[in-house]
Amino acid sequence: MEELIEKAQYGDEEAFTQIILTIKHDLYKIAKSRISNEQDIEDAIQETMIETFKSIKKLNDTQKFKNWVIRILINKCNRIYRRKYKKDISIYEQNIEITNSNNITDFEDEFNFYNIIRILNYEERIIVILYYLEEYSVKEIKQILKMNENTITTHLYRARQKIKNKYGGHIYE
Amino acid sequence: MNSLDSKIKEGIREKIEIPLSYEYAIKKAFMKPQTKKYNRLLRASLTTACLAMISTGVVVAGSIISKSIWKDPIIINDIEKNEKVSKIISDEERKDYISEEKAIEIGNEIIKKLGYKNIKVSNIELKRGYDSTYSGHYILRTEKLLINLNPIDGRLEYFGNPSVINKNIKCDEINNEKANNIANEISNKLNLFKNDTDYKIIATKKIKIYSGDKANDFWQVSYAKLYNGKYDETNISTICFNVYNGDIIIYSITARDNENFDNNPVILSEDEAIEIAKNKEKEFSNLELSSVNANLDVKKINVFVYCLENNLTNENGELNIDNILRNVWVVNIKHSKDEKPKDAKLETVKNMYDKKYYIDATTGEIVGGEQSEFEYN
Repeated sequence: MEELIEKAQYGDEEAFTQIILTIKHDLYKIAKSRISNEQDIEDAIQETMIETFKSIKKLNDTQKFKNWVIRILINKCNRIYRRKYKKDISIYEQNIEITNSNNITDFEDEFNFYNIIRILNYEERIIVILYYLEEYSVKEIKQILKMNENTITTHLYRARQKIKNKYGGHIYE
Repeated sequence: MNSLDSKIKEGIREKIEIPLSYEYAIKKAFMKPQTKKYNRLLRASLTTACLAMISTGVVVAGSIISKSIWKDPIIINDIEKNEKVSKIISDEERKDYISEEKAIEIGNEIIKKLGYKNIKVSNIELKRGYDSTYSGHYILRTEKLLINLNPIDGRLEYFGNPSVINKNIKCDEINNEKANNIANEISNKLNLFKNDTDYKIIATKKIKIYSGDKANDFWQVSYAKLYNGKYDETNISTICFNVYNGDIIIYSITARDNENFDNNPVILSEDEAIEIAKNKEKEFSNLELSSVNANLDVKKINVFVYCLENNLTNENGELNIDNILRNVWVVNIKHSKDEKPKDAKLETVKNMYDKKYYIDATTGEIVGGEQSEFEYN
């Protein structure tokens, strides 16, 4: 990865694309936690790639590459969400519909990615993803989301509670 | 980490299906870094094409992604519109306009060129039009004639002589060719199309114009600017006249122009355009398609599909969009259905109406469309 990042810092678009492809699943889940419309997700990832590539030279610590891309992707998704979904109920409804069509409705009780994010609000969702998928600490999440540590802890607690209430019986024993 | 945490981690990390188009978007992100958002429909169609390739082994030609031309319309609500329309034309706007004196001079010149003697403009007004642009127009009058001029360049927009329909005039027997020649003479005299040789006659017909119980026969010759042999149906200029006892009597001249044609290259294939339209139609309707075909045409972009996508109707206000003409694939989609739509509500139009989609021939964006007249199957 570091070698690819270095290449990208020298302007190698292909190397940069390769890096993004290696983390595409995580980026997809992060985007999906905010916007469900596939076309909007594609826009968000492309915008993220263009922005990060432009300023990759400024990245001193290559270890923080993924963290940095995620932060920008979250911002892009939020912007798209504000621009489209907030002002347009119909798209929001469509959004929900698409989320529901991801094998959720038929297997409502199944414990999977979509069912987990479905029962959480956005803040809880993104924090849960960063915490459990990316294994970021609360401190790191604070840096990404620019959120107070206590707020993050509270969201995390509430998310756990919601999941426990919904699936507690299945996942504890 | 307790068992709850472990379970959540497992669930969150579960592998999920990712659309092919998402990976395609990543791989193509740098094709045109300055343009990102526009080609999602093309991407969607390519994804479908990829899937078709995988499932059928058919090779589908690739496409070029280029700059977006679609911009979401500006919605103007009635209150804003009334405020805007009721405003007097400002001094700022007038700065770009020719003077009233110049407009009168042009008006008198037009009257003279059309053969009217001893008639002069007696009245002039500057009024804001009630079209989507709210632009100004000079309205010039004589006792019988009405002339509209574009205030920016003094171009003739309309000439009318309503007094000629207060008679019961029958046309002299002339053929289409003669009618066309007369219309060409008139347009040349006025230099109606500013020496632009792309303006051609597209239709010649006899029409009846009624005034009370009087019916008058007129020839109507229609002109349009041709773009690769096609024309914009919403920008037709007409010369309406009759020939009575050898004299030419002009009823009206309507001159429209549209210079906002990009002559964008045709990059998208017919199959790709059809795929894009079909995918969009699937979002609106689950009816089976009975026929799908496409033809290249020139169309002004419009908000039809945008309104369907966003559940917008006239009640939401007026949707203003740039006046742009593009080379498009017009994809005509018809459904198999057992019953006629019972109304023209948005949901019914979405679900049941046959539609035409305008697919930009360069970018693959859906830039407009129309609902087709319902045909009972």
